[in-house]
Amino acid sequence: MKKVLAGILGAAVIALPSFAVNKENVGCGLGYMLFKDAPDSTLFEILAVTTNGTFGNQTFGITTGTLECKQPEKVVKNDRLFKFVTENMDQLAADIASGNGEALDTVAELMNIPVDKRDAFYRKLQANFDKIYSSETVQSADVIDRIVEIAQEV
Amino acid sequence: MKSLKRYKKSLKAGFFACLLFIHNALSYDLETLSHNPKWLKLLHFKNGKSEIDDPKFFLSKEGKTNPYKELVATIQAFLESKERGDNHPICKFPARFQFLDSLLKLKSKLSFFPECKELNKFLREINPQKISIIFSDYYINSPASMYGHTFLRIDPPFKSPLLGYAVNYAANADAKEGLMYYIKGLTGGYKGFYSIFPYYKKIFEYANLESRNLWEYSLNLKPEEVRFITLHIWEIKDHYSYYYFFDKNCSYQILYLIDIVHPEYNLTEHFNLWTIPVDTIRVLKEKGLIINLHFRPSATTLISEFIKGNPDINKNDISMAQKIARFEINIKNFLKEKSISTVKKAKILELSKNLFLYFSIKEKLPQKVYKKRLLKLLSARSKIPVKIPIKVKKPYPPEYGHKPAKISFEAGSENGKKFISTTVRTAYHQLEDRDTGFLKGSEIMFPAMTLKNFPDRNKTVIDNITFIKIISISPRNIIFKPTSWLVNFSYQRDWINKQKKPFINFETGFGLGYESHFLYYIGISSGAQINLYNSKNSRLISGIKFISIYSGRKIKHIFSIYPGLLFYTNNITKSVKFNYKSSFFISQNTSVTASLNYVILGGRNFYQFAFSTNRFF
Repeated sequence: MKKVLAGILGAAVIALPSFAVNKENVGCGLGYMLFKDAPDSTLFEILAVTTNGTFGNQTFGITTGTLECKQPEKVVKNDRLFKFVTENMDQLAADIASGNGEALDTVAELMNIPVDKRDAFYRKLQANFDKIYSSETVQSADVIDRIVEIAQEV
Repeated sequence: MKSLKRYKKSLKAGFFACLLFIHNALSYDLETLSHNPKWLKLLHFKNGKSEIDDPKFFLSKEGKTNPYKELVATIQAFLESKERGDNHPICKFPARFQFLDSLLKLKSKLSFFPECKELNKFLREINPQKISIIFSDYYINSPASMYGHTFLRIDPPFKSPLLGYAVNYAANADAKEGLMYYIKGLTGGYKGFYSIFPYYKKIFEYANLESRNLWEYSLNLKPEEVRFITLHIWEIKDHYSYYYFFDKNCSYQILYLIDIVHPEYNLTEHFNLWTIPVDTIRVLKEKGLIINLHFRPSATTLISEFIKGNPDINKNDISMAQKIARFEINIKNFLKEKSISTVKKAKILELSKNLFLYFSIKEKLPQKVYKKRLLKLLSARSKIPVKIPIKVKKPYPPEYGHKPAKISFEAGSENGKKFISTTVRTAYHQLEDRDTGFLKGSEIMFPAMTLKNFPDRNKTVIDNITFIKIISISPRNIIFKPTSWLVNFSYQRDWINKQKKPFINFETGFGLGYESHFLYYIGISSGAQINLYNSKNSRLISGIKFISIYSGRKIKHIFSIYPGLLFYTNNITKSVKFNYKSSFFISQNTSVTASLNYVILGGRNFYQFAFSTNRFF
């Protein structure tokens, strides 16, 4: 019955929990999309009611967050790559593990990997998954550095 | 800001003097220019006033209603501002400047050109080249989204669409307000703003969190036009207009952005009383602005399509994948398993991966558990170097569906009394309409009315007014276990004693849906019927509802049976309602329907049969 009611009145009646500020920084690691706005692990409610984006005071999401993140060492200033990897840590991990995917293609494009070398590059990344995503606390800068290392070997 | 105020003041003081100066200096008929369609579109002018409500969007006090005064004030501000940086009106209204400069050669009259740092940073980041309009599928579980949604995506010169930026128009609403949220949403109680976010965030929001497919229509616009749109987004981004759910909604406001580069198409003029997202796609298509379509499956579509596309994955494999995704079996043992081929292992793990990503959202996994499991699962997947590409079969795009409004002409018999009737529905889709382009097993009526005439008796009655009716039958399968539900609020003539009498009718129900060749629903329904003239006739009804639907390209059959009990103030009677409908689809927007109702009520039988021709518009 509850579900039906929610259906009638819309997900909108669900009260939004207020989130406590958490010290743990998820901005540069895994779980960016899931936990960025709700760092204390009871996530999604705030996102679950977006319904056509009728939410938010923030209207301009262009220059978000890599400022507070550790900077990659091996790559010469490539802000777009850094930002993309930081904000797509999970999807990129999922693509590397499978050896294909759109996030992986995007990274290859941003790194200017020639199209004919991508297959080999992806295979190499897949084989090195455990090194790239070495722990749950891995940071985007580390991921980029490892990927760059591997790219140099291809 | 101060500078702006100063200009407004000086404008007032020396308005006529300035006017003379500007006229002479520009040797251009500003009166004519102020009626230029492009200028009017840049101001979002329609029916004699601008649809932007934020006074800060205008440089003249009368700018909202007077495009000429706004033009003069704008030119004056451009030419006379002493600001050197981002606060210069040229930095704040770059699209207006580009447009006016192209006609009036304003640049040559400036004593200096301001340095628009923020704007340039924005343009570097977006680097606009191409543009698409994105349709996000129907989301029946939220009334605000059940008609779908549209937004734009601006692409930099990269192949990957993930690097694009989504431009969205949304109300700055607070869903916590409950009912007020809807009232305000309908009556303009919220301020609407344009926003811009990386496209991957929107993909996550729609395709992953809400499981809505995305349709990406590339538009036939030149890079300089895309750049002009981007400049306009910049000048409008902080300025609100009041949000109206029916007409001035997301899809409507998005059209303005295209109107400014193609004012001759006048896209916003097509929409007055209401704007249904898919209709905006239709208009763009008619104008030849759509050149390509890409389908992006939602998280659930991806999983279903993966299973369909890999027939070698059987039920056992699927349940194995589910156990792996839920960490009910050890992945390492699974990898070592000799009885399963390598390719099959890769497929099972691929499915596990997608299921895990889906479940982790649905079941709100705590952060620590999530990260640990994600890495474990992906690490296992990476051990099998076999690629499993997913081929997704594109369903019929939304614009292939019938149009949302419908008019039906009916003739039939109500227990022997001949009748003719007319039904008008403003939106959106009923079970008996063709599914193409719609959610299967869904019905949304909002609102509809039937007038019935009995020629032999020379009598006309209102047979039905449906305020809102929603049916959502979502099939359950080995992976997904959704609840199906329905709700109906209407004014309706219904059988009581020997005749039909008017009731206010409220019904809700919930149950389970299944799909094989037919789509089935079985659930509990209950409701109240309040008789308007005699409260003794008011009744509560409760029962079990069964619906089965056969759905083809050309024909559709719906059968339902609803046995239940009627509770009056002083007695209880049994009732059984049978309903049968067959629709034959002649074209995208024309169909014929035959229907039969049969009701057993307190030992008496009643029937109604009818034939109708339906036109969607």
